Amino acid sequence: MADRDKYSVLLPTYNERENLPIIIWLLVKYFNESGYDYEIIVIDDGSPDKTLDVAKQLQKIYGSEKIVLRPREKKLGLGTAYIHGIKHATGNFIIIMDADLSHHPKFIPEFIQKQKEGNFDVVSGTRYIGDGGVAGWDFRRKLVSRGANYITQILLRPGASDLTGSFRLYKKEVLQKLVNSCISRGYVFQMEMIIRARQFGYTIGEVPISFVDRVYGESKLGGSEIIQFLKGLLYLFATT
Amino acid sequence: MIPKLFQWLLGAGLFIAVWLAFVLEKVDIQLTEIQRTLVLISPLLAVGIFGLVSAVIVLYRVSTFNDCKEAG
Repeated sequence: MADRDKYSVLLPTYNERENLPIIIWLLVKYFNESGYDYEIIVIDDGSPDKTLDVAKQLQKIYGSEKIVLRPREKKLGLGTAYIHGIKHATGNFIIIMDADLSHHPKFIPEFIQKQKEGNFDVVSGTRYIGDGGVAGWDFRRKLVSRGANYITQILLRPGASDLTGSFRLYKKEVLQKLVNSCISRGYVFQMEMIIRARQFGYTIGEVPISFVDRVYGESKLGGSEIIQFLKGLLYLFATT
Repeated sequence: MIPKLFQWLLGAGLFIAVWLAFVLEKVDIQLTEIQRTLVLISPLLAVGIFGLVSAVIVLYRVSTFNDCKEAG
């Protein structure tokens, strides 16, 4: 039964022409080493830097069975990217991750192992327990992150240590059901996925991961992001 | 499943109800001056202690936040 498992990696991309070859190479390497069956679904949102052309070249190199292209016309939300990606996924498991190298594919075999261990519906990468962590964060960033996570834990008692992470493994039908039941965007979307998973009684396993911040200092933690987060937190607090 | 907000409101409501009962001397228990003062300020005390403990916890977690090497 284990041999029939296939893992579809969803890679939403926007202006990742330089990172895409690297992350694909890493994914192929770790999947080949571990022997698990896989495919990589690249969902490019009309990147102006021609990420899609790079993806097409990579498809020629690795084959269209391994690299599947499901581009979209313009930048749409992450939730819809997942929905779009799942539609064409042939795996029974879906892995979601960032395409900008903040998530390292070397953790994927650990995710898979963890899932098998407890037959978990969801396996979530966490920066906050075990030897999970971050690279390139200053004191302020760490303070905001830990503070926000603390408030979230107190208010929502979610049963998972890292709610805003986006490096996860889902059973395909679980991801399907969750995405269709979430209405939030941004950080809160990832939070809502975990909260809904708990509501539906899904089991959640955790794997410590390291997160290498690529875009901090640009738009990741502005005032509006924080306000969006608080609004979303309040929404989940009041409705779940 | 009652949303968390309402769980908190229920808990807070219960706490305030008991507190009010003491403050308005509806309860037939004799308290010393110190005890009475403590009861009176207990809501503030609770918030204060929670704030302090929270700050310590968060700062501890920040200081032990693993710094991973970028290599990979």
